Amino acid sequence: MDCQSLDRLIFSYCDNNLTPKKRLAVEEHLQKCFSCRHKLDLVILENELIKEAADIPQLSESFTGDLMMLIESRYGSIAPRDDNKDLPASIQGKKKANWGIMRSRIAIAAVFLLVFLGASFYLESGLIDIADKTNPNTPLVPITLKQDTPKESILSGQGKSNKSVIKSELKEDVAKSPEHSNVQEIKTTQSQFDTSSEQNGQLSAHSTTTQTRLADNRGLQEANRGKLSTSSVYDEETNMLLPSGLPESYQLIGASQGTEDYSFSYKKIDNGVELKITVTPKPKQDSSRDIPALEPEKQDIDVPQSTSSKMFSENLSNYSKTDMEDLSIDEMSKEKNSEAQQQFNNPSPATTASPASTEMLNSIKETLLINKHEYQVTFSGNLPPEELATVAAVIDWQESKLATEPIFPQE
Amino acid sequence: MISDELLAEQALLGNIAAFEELVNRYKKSVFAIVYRICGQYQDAEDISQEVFLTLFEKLYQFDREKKFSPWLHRIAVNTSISALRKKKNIISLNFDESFISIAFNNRSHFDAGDPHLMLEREELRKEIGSAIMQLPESYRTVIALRYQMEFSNQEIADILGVSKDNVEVKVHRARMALRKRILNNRKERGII
Repeated sequence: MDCQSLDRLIFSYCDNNLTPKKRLAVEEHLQKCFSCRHKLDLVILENELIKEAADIPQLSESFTGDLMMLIESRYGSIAPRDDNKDLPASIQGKKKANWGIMRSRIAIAAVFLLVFLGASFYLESGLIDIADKTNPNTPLVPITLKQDTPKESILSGQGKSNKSVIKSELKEDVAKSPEHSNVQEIKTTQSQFDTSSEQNGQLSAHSTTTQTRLADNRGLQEANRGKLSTSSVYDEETNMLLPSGLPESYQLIGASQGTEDYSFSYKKIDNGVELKITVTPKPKQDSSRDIPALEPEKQDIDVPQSTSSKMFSENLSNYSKTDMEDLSIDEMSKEKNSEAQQQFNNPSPATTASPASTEMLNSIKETLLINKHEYQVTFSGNLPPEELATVAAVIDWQESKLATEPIFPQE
Repeated sequence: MISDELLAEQALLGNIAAFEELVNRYKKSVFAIVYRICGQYQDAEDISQEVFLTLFEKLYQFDREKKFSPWLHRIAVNTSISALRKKKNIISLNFDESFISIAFNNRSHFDAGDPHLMLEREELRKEIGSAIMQLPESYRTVIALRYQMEFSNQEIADILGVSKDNVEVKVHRARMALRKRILNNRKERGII
């Protein structure tokens, strides 16, 4: 083993992550190489300093209590603490939910299943048309949840919508249900953008309207969960921005709406990577562009030139210069990107098997100006940056007015 | 002791005490990960809370065949990174100086010995801490998990969703990047 080979293994050696054979080879080299023993000392010192560099402050004692209160206020009531007969012995004396949470979940699921099935029925029957027929890629998903329904009535499962489900007279109940007035029709308009998918041949496959129908109930639950609010950016004068033209391999799995933004979630069929597109309508006067910081600001740290500091500095400078010459911070980003690209081009078996095995979350932000309306769009997901950029480029945005007419006919 | 997986199952059935038990078991490790990635106490506390709220909402997605701990820690890593990106406060990131001085003063092993050496070591520690916070978050995460949380390569692989070999590569790159950052910082200050 030479010094260069040792440089590649020295961290693993210190971390005790080498095979016995490699470990032996490293130790043999260390015995005869004074310079590498210094490198080892440096790594050991570095390890200690890294570990010391981030002592963890004490988490406040009220953390759990505050969290549980927040959960209670957000998701429903929690049962009194004396009802603990079914609890495991080790946690007896605490409390047990009175199934309020489960009921809330079921209620939410029921409400949205009802709306979803109702919408599907009308869509398939051709009674309504919320898609722009000139563009088959327009997703129908922006479920247009005008969420004026009081939170408590949904979460507590006491809303009238539940009764509608029980009656199972779907069509009639949908029409009669108070929820139908909360569902707004989306009329998609011609896109104001020319960034059509034709510009990118390899990703020009059209998604189809079936994507919408594949938006399962889970996605709809997510659309509603924890995001109910009376104040919203979606007033009647606000337009909604709808993505279209995504490659067919991206399957729409859900849509959600917050008070400040709304988002669409896609899953790539072949490798399972997930893409989330978040649209934040911005006030007209706010035209400032939001540019994410890519490079951290330089820190001004005054380190006195002391003995050990000098020693550390010298060791650091001398250590493996050739190994570090080509690794500037800028290049690190490139390296990361190329690594992601390589994984994208040649996915390992692990990568193919699970979406979880891809790189960490990447995101791209861009600001769009359509019909004098400004939108901030964020593409994020665990797909490689290049692919994310391609998807961002290929998307065709369509602005759609939120109509005030209900989606379902009034009786 | 009841396993985490069983507690998760019970929490899914509406047993809020089981969920609370999970919070108590993991709040420290979750907070530690979040704090080491974001570097600010208040942010770390808020993000930790968000992690557990996400856990509450997404618990139904937990695969009972798998270990609970890496799954939760993965939520912690992802939530921290996306919170950082959302706030775009990477520029101003630094470990809480006030806390560092308190922690430093309370360290028992610094109570004895040469005060000059103690100070030197403390300065080096700060220098490395700052350099870590200047790294891209993926490198910072790997360093935090490996050297500060002392997770094994397999555990890190489970948390990050990569292979064990890939963890080794990431660790190496993160360490080299850290050195490069330290050297650059020193060059900028005219120390070397």
